[in-house]
Amino acid sequence: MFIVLLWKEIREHLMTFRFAAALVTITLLIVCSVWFLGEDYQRRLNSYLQASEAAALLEREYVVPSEISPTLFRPPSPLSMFTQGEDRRFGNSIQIKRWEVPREATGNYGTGLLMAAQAPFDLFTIVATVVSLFGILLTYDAISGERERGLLRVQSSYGASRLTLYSAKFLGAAVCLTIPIVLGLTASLVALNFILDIVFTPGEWLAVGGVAFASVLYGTVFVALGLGCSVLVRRSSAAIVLALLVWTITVVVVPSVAQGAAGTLSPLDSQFAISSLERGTEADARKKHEELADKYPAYEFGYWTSSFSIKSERFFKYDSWEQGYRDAESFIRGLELVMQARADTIRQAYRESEARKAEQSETEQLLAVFSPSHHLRHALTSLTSTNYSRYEDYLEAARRYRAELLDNFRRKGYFSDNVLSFFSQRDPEEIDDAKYGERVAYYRSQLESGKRYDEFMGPKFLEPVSASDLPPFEYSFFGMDSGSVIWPLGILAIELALLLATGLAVFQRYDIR
Amino acid sequence: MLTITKRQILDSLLDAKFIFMALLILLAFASNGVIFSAQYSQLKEDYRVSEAENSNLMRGRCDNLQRLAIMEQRILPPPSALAFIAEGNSDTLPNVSLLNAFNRYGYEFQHRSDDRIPVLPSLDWNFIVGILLTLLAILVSYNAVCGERRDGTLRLVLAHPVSRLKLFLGKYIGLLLAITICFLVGVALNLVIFVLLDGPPLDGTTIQQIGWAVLLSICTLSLFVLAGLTVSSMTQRPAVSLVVLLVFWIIVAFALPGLGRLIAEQVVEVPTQAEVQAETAERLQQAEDSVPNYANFWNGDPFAQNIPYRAELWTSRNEVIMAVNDSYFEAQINQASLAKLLAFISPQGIIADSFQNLSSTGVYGFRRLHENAKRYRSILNRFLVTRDAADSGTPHLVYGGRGFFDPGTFSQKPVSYSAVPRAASLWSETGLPVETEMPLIHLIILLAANLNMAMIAFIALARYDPR
Repeated sequence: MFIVLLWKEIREHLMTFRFAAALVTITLLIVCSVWFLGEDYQRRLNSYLQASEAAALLEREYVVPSEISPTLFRPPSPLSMFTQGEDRRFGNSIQIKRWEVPREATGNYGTGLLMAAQAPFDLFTIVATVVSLFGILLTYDAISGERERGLLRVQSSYGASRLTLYSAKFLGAAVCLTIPIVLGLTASLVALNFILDIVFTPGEWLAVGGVAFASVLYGTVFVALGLGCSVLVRRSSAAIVLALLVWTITVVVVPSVAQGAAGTLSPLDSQFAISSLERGTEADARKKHEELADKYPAYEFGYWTSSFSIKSERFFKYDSWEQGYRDAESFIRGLELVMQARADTIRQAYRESEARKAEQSETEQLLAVFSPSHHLRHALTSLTSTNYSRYEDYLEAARRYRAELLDNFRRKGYFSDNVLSFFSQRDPEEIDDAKYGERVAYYRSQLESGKRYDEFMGPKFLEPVSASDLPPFEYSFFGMDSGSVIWPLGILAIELALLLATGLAVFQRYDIR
Repeated sequence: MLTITKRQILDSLLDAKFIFMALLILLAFASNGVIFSAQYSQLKEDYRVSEAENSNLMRGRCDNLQRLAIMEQRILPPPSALAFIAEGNSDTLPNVSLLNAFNRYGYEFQHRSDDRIPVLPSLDWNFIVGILLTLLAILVSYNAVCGERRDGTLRLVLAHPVSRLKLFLGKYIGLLLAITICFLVGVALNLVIFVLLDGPPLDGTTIQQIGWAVLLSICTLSLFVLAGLTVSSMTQRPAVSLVVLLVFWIIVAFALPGLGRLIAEQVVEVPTQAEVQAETAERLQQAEDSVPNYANFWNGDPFAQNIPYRAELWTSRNEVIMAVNDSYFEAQINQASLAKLLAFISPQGIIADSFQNLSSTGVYGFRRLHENAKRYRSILNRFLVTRDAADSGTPHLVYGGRGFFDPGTFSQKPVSYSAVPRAASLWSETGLPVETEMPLIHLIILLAANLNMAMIAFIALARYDPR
């Protein structure tokens, strides 16, 4: 009986105008969006590869460890063609610096700054708005419309229970909503595979399956909503209006209100005040730096010797290596304390600001808890590895890398005792006073003959740092946190179950005349 | 006709769906009032902090023209008082320009927004009008003709000696008035909340811009009422009419602007950060190669022989950085402008653009910042060069880098703090451009669309079979 009813429902839906409209609109939009974003992904991927290559070339030119500041790139997520999430919004390169712990990424792979700022038109947007609306349109008259036409009485005379009738109606519509989603995704995947040559790994295929499942689950929530409204209200034109109101509030209004209200309820500190503090400490640190440099005029001694400071008068101030080295060491130790204090001040300010931000996003989560589109967004961005926590993982990986890099060089004896600073590789020639004097005389003669310092400086005297000395940066763009996928999907499933149960309960007492 | 209008207004206003939707809209307007009052005062505070920082720095450096010239300023424009009309994703755009008298170094993001929260349309008028009120327009008009046919009242009305034109006009005006009443009540509520909560200031210019926004909104709503009447006069059953209208609405409100953005990204390509860096490096190398080697030397004498070359080198370095940055940011602006232009096939796209224009936010806000940063740097540069020219103790070779200068190549004399030009003067108090633009093009397009739609709607109604 159930199969017969289900088959009837599906057949009827397939022949309606609204199914045709849904099929064409949803399929076309999905294919267009995935196609355009797939091309965009390829462009960003090429740009990423080029940038990494250029950075690797630069790294080969390092001469002294104190000059090393490798750039770490974040690869674009291949699944971002389904859900953009935060993939393009945040920066994708971090330059590792001696004095600061990475806090944010900068740069982009040719994404328009003004475009990345807008909510992207991706599969998420299509499913959240278009698919859910069609979900309602498929079922708003399933009960009330049939009652109006008198078909309901005929059907209940077959002897099918109301549960069977109700679930056949729900499943029939759900199947019909699944068709355009699956068709759209399949068509775009085929196009991606054959034309753009994008190949997914098994893990990514699993995530694509998850995306399709989450989209269908979300669509069925609205199928159940339409069905529920159809039972709750006698006339189908009233049912659609009721369903539309619920749709407008939960899908469109609540996420925006939650975002705005979170900004009002738990406001953040002025970001400008924090960066102003940072600049203030910078100016302060620079002043202390200058004071130290005056006290220990050897501050560039041994520290920059391979590059431009040869111009400096200070280089010629010392007649013996020992004396210069002692002063240079005192200078760097003093500087470390200054920079450490500065870094601590800034870190404290940022830590407080981050705590406020976490609080605000919690408020937003709480306010939007009844919005299915909110949960869909979480599910899809987690599945496609484009959520904020992936970006945080990248920052975390960069911080680990920096610690590792510093450790690595400290182990090799390139550093003074403290973590933060380091001398150049100690050239045995430099430590020998006689050789040192010879070298200064050589520099002087070269400068006087009108040569540029970079023409006679550099690798000539020092062995360049080998690129293999750098630890590898390990970060994979694909890292799905199953917890952050299961939670939102679970909530969507609960919402679906509640809507179905309510609708069925009302339908049991429904007057079919 | 008046009777028809009156009846239509009453019918609409007393309808349950109208009342629910109108309440939702009023709630949205009220939330807008609360949210944007708080946001405006937060942004105002940020602006105050940035101004104080620039002033303090400037005051400290007025004792020496040269130090003043290389002082890096962070130009944060005053917040737009009309951000509540169209927020334009302003809190994700670059908003601080970095410059000194010799160069502009690009932009920073200094926002009071939470990165953890994804980018969503904010609850501005653009959203309330473009999404909620247009939906209301559809909800009240979808059964205006076919609903009356189903109830049988259409035949009764047509039995009276009333022409179809009058019937059409009566229905159209009645529906539009009902929605306009709801809209205007919301606007009034919104503005009253601003006054009560000390939100954005409402002065002459802002009131004028709000007036334009109201006018454009009514034109847009009228378009949707006409679309509703058209579809309603082309279908027999109200439910079918609503389904058709909803499909139309979702395509126009969501799909078309979104597709416009995707296409614009394909058509106008923006160079990557790496490409920009490579181009800068190449052109800097060219600048370096075009001057003799000894241009780089500095022996402490501002009148040394190589100083003219050194000045030339630094000037061309500054020009390279500015030119590369400008072409990069102009490509960004072009891309976003094309996206907006492509969205013009949808009324929501038109009002989104005109609202951002009116309130000087979004791409318009960024473009204004870009232009004003350009203008301000040249004003500051001209001011300092004139002062330097009056000092006989310098070679008058104006150059400098980021936080860098050669002592003595520029005047070291003090200057009065009040005489130094300030960036703040390029914006008005409300964050709007000093001379506001009128969105006449948008209005004309909307009116033309209205006229077309009205003709179609009337023809559809004239041919409608009332049985």
